[in-house]
Amino acid sequence: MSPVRLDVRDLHLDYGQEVVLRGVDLRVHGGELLGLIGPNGSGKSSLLRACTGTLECRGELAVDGIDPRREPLAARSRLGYAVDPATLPGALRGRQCIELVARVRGLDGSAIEQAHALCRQLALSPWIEREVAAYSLGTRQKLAVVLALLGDPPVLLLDEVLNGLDPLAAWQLKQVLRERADAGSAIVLATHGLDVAERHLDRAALLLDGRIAADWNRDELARLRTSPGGLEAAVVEHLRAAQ
Amino acid sequence: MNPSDPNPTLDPWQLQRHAIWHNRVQQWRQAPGETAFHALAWLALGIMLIALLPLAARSSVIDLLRGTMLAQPLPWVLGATALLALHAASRLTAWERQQRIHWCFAQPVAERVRRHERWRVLGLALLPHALAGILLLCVLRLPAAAHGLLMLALLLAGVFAALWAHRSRRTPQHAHPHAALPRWQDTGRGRLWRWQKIEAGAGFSPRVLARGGWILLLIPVGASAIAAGVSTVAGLCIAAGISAWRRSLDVLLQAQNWLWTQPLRLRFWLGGALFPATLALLAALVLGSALAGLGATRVAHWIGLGLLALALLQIACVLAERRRPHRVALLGTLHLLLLGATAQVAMPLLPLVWLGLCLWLLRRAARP
Repeated sequence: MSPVRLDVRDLHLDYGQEVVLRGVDLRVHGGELLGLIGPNGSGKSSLLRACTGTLECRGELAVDGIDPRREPLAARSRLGYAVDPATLPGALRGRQCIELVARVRGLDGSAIEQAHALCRQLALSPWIEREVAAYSLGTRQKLAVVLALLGDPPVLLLDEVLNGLDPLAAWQLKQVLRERADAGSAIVLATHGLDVAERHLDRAALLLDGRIAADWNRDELARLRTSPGGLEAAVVEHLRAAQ
Repeated sequence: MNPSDPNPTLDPWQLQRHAIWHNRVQQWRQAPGETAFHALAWLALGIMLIALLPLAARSSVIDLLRGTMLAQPLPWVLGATALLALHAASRLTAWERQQRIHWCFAQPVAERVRRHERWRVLGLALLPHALAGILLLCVLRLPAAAHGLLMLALLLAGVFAALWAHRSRRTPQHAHPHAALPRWQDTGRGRLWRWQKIEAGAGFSPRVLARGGWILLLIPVGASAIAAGVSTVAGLCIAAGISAWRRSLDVLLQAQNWLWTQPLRLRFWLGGALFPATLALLAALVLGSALAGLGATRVAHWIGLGLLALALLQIACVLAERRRPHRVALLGTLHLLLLGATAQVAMPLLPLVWLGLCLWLLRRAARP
């Protein structure tokens, strides 16, 4: 069994009066590609942000064995997080963004070369010398993903990164994520695309009412693929039961 | 798949600023004519402001200020400290909020680098006030101890702001906090002015109103309670009015961003000028009446009319350029220079030139 790369135990998070997470338990092993699904406002993004150690929360949290709240520098150098594309610095060029993040992470030229290769795969290269302000949503999304994958971190936290991507780029990205997972990375992909979760991921966890309400492994997902309604029907059943 | 080895001394904000500056210089080099034109316009504005300084130094407000500060320095210093602290705390809290979604929030950046950037933001929030304060003290020719008090006020304000921001940083909040809620609800048909009214109401926050508190420092010692109350209300009204004005102009841009695909007539867009124009008219009437009431009857109507004319010109600039008010500063400055030159050379032509500029801008605003 591969080591646990992301370990979340009994995680609680609230924004003042608003309780978002009520004891989340989630373990993601190296080589696993996990889909985090759930209704809007269920706390998927908050859970991913909490895993970066930037939110005050209660419970146990470990990124590659390190608590990001106690040792943020060591933990963050082990994780890649795809930021909201709208927050990328518009006045910088794509190339400058890559070089900037590479310098912050202490990466060498080979990592930058690898990032440029990924840009070519995602058809981002023609835009790389232009300012981010001129990018479309999909192009910004591609850049956010390239920045998250920079330096091949062991843990990847990706929040709705397939949104806005053209079909070819989305397909390429799914291949890249598969390759990274096969190389030993633990990947958490928050998504609303149930077909993506069903066909391309190793596990799917449903976040509902601040807890993991269901967790389907590879075999169960394979079984759902052949059953009528598939994962969608299973998720809808959980959502109806929660109402 | 390797954990990276981050450089703990690297400052990503500084690197970002450096890269942005590099890009800007490149853009300037690519358009030398436009760059020279902009530089000349800013130079002209700077010269105009410097030329106004000696006039300001001779004004009666300076004497009033000097008298107030010398008569009872402690309340003055305490008031200035409180206002500076509010301003700095608001700037630092806004920065903290922005950092929750900043591209490097999840990057391995050392805490002491983040702390350094935090101090820089705080320093930049206080620096303009420090410079303005030193300039004011020099103009007022106050004793050297006043400079010490100013530094003490800045220091206390900085400490308060840092503590306040630290408290806000420890409170978990949504990455994208909800927008400020309007103070009053509105229902009815979609008109830009209704939206502007709601936005203007949403801006009446204690943080905005606190900016009007600066007027408290102008109240002479020994002034009656009624005079102090009226002055305070006036300060709050000025702060609220400026906020409402800025927000109502912002609505024009926001509407442009998401309503431009709708089959809307030109009068819908021009109707967006109605609310800020009404605000400007009110401000002009109040200012004119106040000046007339204070005995400056000869200049009251001219100042009121001037304020209205300039406000209408800014509305036309925003409509024509379809940019935020602070982004049309250069265009506004050019128009001001043109009006100023006309006033110097051929005063009777001034209304005609103003009207011509407004019509030209509105014609640009009417483009699809």
